[in-house]
Amino acid sequence: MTASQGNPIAALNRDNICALYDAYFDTLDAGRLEEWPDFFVAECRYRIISRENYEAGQGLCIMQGDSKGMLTDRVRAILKTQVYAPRYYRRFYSGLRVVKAVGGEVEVRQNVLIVQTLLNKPSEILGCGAGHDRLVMDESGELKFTDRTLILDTEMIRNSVIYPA
Amino acid sequence: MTDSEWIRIASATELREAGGLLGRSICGVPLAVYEVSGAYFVTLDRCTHARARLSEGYLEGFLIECPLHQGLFDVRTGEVKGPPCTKPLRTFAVRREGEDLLVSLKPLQEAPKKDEIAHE
Amino acid sequence: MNNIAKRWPGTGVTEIPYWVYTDKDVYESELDRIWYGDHWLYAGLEAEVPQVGSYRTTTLGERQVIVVRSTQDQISVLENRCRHRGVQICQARSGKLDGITCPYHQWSYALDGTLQGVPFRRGIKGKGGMSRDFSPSDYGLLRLKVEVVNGVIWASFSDRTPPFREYIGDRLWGSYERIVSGRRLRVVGYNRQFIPANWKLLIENIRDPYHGALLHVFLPTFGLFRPDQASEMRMDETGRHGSLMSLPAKDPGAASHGEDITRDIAVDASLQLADKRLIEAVKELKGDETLGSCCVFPSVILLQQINALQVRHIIPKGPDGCELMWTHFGFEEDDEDMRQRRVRHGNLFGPAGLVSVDDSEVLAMAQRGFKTAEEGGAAIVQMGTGGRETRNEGHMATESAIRGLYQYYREVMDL
Repeated sequence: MTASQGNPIAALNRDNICALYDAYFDTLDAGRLEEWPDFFVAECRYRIISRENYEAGQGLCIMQGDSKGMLTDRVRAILKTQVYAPRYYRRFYSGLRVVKAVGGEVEVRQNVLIVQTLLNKPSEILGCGAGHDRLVMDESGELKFTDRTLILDTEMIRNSVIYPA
Repeated sequence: MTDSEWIRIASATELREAGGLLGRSICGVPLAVYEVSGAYFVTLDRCTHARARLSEGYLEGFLIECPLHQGLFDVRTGEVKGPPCTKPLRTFAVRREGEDLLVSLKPLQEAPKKDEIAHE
Repeated sequence: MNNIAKRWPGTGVTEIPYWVYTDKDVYESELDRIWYGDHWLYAGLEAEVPQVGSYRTTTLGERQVIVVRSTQDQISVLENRCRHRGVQICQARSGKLDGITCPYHQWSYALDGTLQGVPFRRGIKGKGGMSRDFSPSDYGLLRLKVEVVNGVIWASFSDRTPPFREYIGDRLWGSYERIVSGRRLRVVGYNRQFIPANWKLLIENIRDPYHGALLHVFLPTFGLFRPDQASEMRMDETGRHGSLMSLPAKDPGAASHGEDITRDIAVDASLQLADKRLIEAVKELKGDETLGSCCVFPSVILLQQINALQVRHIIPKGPDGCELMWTHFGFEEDDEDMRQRRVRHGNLFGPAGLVSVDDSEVLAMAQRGFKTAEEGGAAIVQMGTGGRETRNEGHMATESAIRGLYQYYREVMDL
């Protein structure tokens, strides 16, 4: 189904949006990193950016990609080249709200908390922030991110951010 | 607020007994009255830096020192004489009639602006 | 004399006792002799304080300072502590001020730290106040020695610190000037991380070409760095500063400005990036190096890798940790393409850096190793021509620059 067929606007409803976020965070929490880029359209933008930089209009991010290809490269590096102590992330989102729906695109915001657990250590908060996202229906009728921007209040990172959120 | 008539602000005796420095509110306008070597002066009683009361400050010669940050003004002209003040102080005409000191609220320049007058 | 009970065996630098990284007395002595001694510390970029009154707060060693443009031509670096009752005055990270006023009792300082206003200094209606002999000029904010060199602000707690040009020396001046040539800089953004590792490990790491292609698998995998490419690890005369420069593995000089200098060096077609823009670079600095670093002991590493120009500012936090503050910068004349390129290249660095994560994670592992080491345990630093010599080298199989660092360190620390 193309975006112009069916009823894409009706499909951009809160239930479907929540289902997308549930699936997105479940995929990441379960460690199925190779599936992460598939939540994005080809010409997308992904950012984890400090609140400091975001509010000052400065471009530097903690993690960034401006294509699905770059996200795939990030996954490959996480799995094959980066060196880091083993850990789990678990992500919690709340307060999801649709702030705008224009044409076939919705703007969605939510709070996000990332809890990290290193081996033999207590769980700790790695970051908390707000997701400012844009979603569309792609040609196959699936909801995807065109832009996911996670603005972190946590400007002092406990060493590393390994996995996306 | 009245126009150009002269208004009694203080007596010469009470000013002398106050060490030559007094604060008074006339028609809602906070004013500081000074006596230096027999001459009389009146300025707005608000420092132009952080709006402290100059009448609570320190008068030495013709210089009034703000109690808050020690900014300096010349009471004769309102000119800034020491940091951190940068804006001059508004002055008013004053004269003595017998024991009375009278001030004119029609100032040497234009009328005081609303933000200069904090109603007490 | 030091308060340090432990003794470093022998006089060489091929073994670094683990307690050098973990001992609290060593750390306190480092603050005193190094951070607050006759050394220049990185305090920021001129571009961060563009107007009179613009300021940023930052930490030098463990002491917080206000870096402020006090007049059009003067930058002041002032300790962020009221001389009255010790309050840390500025709580924001940056902003613009007319003066510096303590919130507690409104003691007011001019932008250059001069104490200007003490409320009720003369008392209230003649009662109270400070004594007549109180002299405000004795109670200004502590002023550090400042030099601005090619747009970088340097500060020192010591008046005896020699001029910066002399401090960095002739051998390393070229690597400094290459990155901050005097062109007007523009901040791309900041990142901050706490690394649970001794601050000296960060300095060692950037002077350790040996680990480059071995730890950072991303680099040789995607053709950014090979162990056999031409490189030079150079120290200044004291051994405390170091620069590492590396040319890509192709005919140098063939690239001209604006040309992609990474396209020819991918090692394996099957290991191509899905989106090469992640690392595609254009030449913008003097020389064809794809990596050029200048480590100015003790507080900072200035580094260029591809088009990511960065300041890595080290803030020690006890023997077992430090903060690393990244300032990525570009030039005022950057066009939109270059701005976006610098943001993409930022992916290799910082707390999620495709290259840098390896370092911060491994250094944390090192610190964990030190903490449980036996009495008398030590790291060995013997790579390099001769195994024990300390000299500038033109290849990567060397730890010579780490030996040089500790030669200086033993001297300044009297260890």
